[in-house]
Amino acid sequence: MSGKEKKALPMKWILTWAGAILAGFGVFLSVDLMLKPRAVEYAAGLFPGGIYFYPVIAVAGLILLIVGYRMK
Amino acid sequence: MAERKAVLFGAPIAAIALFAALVGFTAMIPISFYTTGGGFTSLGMAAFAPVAGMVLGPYAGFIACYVGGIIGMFLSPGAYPLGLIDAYLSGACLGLSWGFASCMDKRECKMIYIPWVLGQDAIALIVPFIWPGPPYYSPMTEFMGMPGIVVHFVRRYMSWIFLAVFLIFGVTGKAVEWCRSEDKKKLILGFLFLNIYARYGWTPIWGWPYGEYIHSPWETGLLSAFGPLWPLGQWSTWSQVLIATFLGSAIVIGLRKTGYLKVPRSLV
Repeated sequence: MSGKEKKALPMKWILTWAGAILAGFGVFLSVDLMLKPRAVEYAAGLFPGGIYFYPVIAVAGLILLIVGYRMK
Repeated sequence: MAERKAVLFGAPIAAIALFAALVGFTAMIPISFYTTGGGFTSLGMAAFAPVAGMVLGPYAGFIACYVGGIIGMFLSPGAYPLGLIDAYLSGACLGLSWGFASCMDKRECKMIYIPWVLGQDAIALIVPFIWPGPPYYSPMTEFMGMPGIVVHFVRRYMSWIFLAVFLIFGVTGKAVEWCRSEDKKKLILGFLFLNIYARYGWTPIWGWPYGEYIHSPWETGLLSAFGPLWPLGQWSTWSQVLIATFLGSAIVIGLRKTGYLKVPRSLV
């Protein structure tokens, strides 16, 4: 084992990656729902605002990604 | 110093419990909704159950995924609409199929997995359109001048492609060998092929009871093979294959580097 000290992962990259993963997940599921009209009915019945949940996650992820990436 | 650990089929019980909890908890996160409504494929089914199979091997993976499926069944009924049957089909069988797929370089796994996969696919070929068939099921109609029985074989072309991947990279043990390679490209390709043939091995055991339960008509198969449902089927299959490939390779490589887990008949 080397005696190197490990550097903590900068907050910038934690936020950027978390944002990218959330945005990817949100876009992925929004597209998935867009392709399936009967699944939209099902998702709408899962909980109130069910069909808006994934686009909101996508936008939130995108905001997090931009904030993280622009961080010094 | 030798340390006594609580192990089951070579996997620490703590790791089995961890993966069971992961599969159960991530059942609440949908990854792809069923086209027909009525449920969804969860992140646990698409990614963590396959990873449990790759990391824990077939037997411990089977137990982890079964327990995870039962937990998920209560936490998220939408992910397991058939209840206990689903905990077995969409839980335990995932761990079993990916576990066997991950040890295809061993004779023991080949002896079980090859007949299992081919037998399941043969059943899926026959049930339900050839047997029990009409009048219980819709008859195989002709399409573009081809008789029904020929259409039945042709419309399963993706299945034949996956069978070829299984025979070329699975049966020979090439995919598992590549999964242990130092070369990054080979490694990712190995994981990709492994995920393709493990999914091919699992789909029939899930598909034919579901087909029997849903009573899907002949036309759905035709539309999925040659019609507008084609992109939906492909999207569903390939998105899940890619998620399991990338998540699986990341977790397996991470575990290999840390040396935390060493399980026989697994990729770690």
